[in-house]
Amino acid sequence: MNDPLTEKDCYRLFAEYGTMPHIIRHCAAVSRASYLIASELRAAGLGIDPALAGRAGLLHDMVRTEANHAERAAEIVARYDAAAADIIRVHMHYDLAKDAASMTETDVVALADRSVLEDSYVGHRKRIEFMIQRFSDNPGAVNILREKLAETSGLVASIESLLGKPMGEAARGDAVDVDRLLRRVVKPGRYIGGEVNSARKNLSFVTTRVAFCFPDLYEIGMSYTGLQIIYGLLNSMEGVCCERAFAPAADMEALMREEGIPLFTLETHSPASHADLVAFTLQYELSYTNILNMIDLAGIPPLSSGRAEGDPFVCAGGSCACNPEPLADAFDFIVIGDGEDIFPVICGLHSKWKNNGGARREFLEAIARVEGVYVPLFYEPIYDGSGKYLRHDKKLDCLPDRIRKRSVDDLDNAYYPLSPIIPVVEAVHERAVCEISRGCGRGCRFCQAGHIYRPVRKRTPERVRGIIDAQLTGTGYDEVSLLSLSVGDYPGIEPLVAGLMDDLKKRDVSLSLPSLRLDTVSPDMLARIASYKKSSLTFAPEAGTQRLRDAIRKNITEDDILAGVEKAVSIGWNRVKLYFMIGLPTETREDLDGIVSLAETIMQRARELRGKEGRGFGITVSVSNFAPKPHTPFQWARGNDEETLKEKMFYLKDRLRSVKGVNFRFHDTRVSAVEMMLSKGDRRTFAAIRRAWELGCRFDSWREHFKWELWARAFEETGARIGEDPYTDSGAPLPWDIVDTGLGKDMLLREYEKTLNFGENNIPASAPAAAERDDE
Amino acid sequence: MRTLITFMKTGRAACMSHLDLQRAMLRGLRSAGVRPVYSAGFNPHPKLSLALPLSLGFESLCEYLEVTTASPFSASIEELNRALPDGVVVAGVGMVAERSASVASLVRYAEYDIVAPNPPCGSIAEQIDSYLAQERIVAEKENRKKARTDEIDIKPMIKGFVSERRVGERARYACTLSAHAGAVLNPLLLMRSFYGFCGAPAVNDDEFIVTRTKIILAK
Repeated sequence: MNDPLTEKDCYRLFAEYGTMPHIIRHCAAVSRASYLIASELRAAGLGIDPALAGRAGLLHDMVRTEANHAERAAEIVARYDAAAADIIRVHMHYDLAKDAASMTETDVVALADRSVLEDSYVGHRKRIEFMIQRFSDNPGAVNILREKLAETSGLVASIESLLGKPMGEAARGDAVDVDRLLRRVVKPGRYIGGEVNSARKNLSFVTTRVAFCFPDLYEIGMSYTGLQIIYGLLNSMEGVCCERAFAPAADMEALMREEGIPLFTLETHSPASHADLVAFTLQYELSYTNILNMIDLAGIPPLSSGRAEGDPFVCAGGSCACNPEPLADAFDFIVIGDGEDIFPVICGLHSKWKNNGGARREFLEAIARVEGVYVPLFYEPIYDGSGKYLRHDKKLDCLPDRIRKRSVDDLDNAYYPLSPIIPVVEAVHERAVCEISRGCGRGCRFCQAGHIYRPVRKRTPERVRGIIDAQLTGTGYDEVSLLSLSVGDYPGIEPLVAGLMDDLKKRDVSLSLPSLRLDTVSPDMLARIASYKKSSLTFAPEAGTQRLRDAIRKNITEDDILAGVEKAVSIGWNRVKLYFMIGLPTETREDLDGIVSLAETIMQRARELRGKEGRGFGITVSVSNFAPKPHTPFQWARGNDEETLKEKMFYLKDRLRSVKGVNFRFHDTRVSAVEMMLSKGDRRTFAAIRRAWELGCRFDSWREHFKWELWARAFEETGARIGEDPYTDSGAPLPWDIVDTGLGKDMLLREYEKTLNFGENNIPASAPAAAERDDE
Repeated sequence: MRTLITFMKTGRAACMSHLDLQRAMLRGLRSAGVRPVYSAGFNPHPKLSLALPLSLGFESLCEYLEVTTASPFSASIEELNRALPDGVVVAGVGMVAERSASVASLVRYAEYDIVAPNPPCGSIAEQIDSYLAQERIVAEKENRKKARTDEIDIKPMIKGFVSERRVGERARYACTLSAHAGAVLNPLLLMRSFYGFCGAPAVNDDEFIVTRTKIILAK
């Protein structure tokens, strides 16, 4: 017995037998309709195999241009798939079953074939009427067609009464009717799908359906490279399909709730809950209420413990998963680390489990053994009588004590999308993107990404060029961006950029280099960038004085900054952006004043250089609030409370007002206060997040949607208070210790102590970055 | 060199805005190997022009896009369609004679097919006749810049307006409206004015299903 034909096998047969493209499209449409109708009948209790109907549907007309095409196709297919061949053999001259109950896969395919005109489902009546018109000069043919019409109508009526819905709806599959909502919302293009390079998989060949859910608007999520990677990767797999769902905006959400329309995917407009795996990406803590909202909109039980056989598995991954505890109760499993290696393993296990018809718990037990997978149900946090966290107890002996982060070793051989989906609504970033390296060796002590994505891995310049070339061809984009935590640290960045710029100019494509540390850029490269496009230049000194910069290990000196500004000014830039943080450990008033004096010094230097034209130059000082993050040396630090942050912001705002040419921008201190609670949260934090969602919190990272009073109330009602932090004792266990990122806790602590004792032990200022790069 | 592309915008693609469509077209062309000429100046933009903007939510069977290229237009219809989102379907590609006027400047009228709920009672055809027989046909036009509503006479802008048929609770209309620069009449403006004239119950804009069926160009 052969394995059933895969979709790829079928397309190989098309190629081998020279099937015409329009016939392939017709076959695909018949296959889709056959699969969907068969699935409905199966759900109604008939013993029909939808995948078989789908396979036969796909191949039924593969040699349509030959005489006796049905017999001929059956002969070919019989070598691989006897059951499908039997259906194909008779599909042209077949007497349909009289009633739905006695239908077989053959009836389904014959019915679908009589309902599809060219490549779209139009229903049997329109299809046969079309044929009658075409053969109107042949009375004999018309008579036969009329008989067929009567026969088909009889069967359709029987099916409709069995299913309790019109045939058209059954053949639409499980798609929800969103069209009537689209005219009533802002930016309806967010919800239509159908983009160039989006996936169109034939579900007849799919065992594992994944709904990749991004907990923010379409235009935000479509700019996220991780989505494009996982989406492309999963859709390149046999038997797996990945669809997308985004958080609906408030107007759309209200309509969906009013009309009873669940969260749907853009590829098929079917309910997200019909996927096998509903996968969320955790990119920022302030998207957590959106996740709960999307699970609720999908109609999936909110808690992992409340899900039953038949419910999808709800899972998550992404950078915030390194502290999986705050949302642990909502997820059936959480993936820690890079997704490229682990997702195919999970999908493989899922397909196997599904084909064997296993119980829900069996799948969870199977994946809990995979390195990098955390199944929260199997790990219970233990607290002492006073509520102090002690440890996690595992429920199964065979499981590891801690979840080891998964990491891709070789980026060159890792999957990377060459044809990313092109958004139909203008997204935040619309450009070809090549991730040139992952991880950062600098070790700035506040930075989570710099710690959890270690070690540093790079793609070779050859691979980078290959990716960019293919993406530009596949998308028509006119901008390319190089992605990395620190682009300037890529070994050989200058020749890479120089070569790219020459190539790209010829194609009318521009290059953008985000996260470019100006101190890493030579004047030559800066001049090149300047000749190209004068976007804004940014520096991230993070702190105002050299003392604090050294204490947080931000290896940049005032001389570096001034030299960079000089370079920029001499080439003709007239605006520079500076990023700072307030509330860092050991910060004093002097450090705040340092921000002001640095701004003054830069303005003065620029005036000197530009002479009379000095007036046109300006800087933007953008200040954010430090929030301590798990798995960094500052994980034990207590962030400033909201009042303190606000006072500091006003102080800076006041003092910077007197510096001419400075534009001051600051982050909402209240948003930061909530962010701190969520990033250092434990399993109990879930109650507050859930309460905040119930009270109406959504899109908390959007200033206009953030609701401070509701968050304060949510924490209060669940027994906590914004600003408190139980995890500042470096001797006590931390709830996110359940994740093993590969960094020793003692190393992190040593680094933290270096900050706290800075100055006292005379640790050399600005330890050279390279020397300590591999200190893990 | 200039090329005129004829295309449809149907189904859910009606939800793409004018700007979304322009971007999709630019990328589709580039991806199919066509490189539009860029304008000179501080902020270069590709020479690409849609003959007549289509309101968000309208479908169209007949849209025109004119593109200027340095080398002869090389992409086939199939290549273009592969590089465009679902529902945006190229039907034809043709050269434009040098020195001829731009397609946008040649637009005179547009024809629309409209399906609308709650039609006025009685004979729709008769009511259209008396509506059109008015000396002035007044419609309310929103003036966003001045944040007010202006009353304008749309009579000179209506070239044709008929009712096709009544289908249950809905009626179908066809109209030919002025569409040249400076005097573009949106079919929704006409429908609102007509419903007001008949005293028919008000209908939300989103309940009119509008398809542009033709753009009529000057000879």
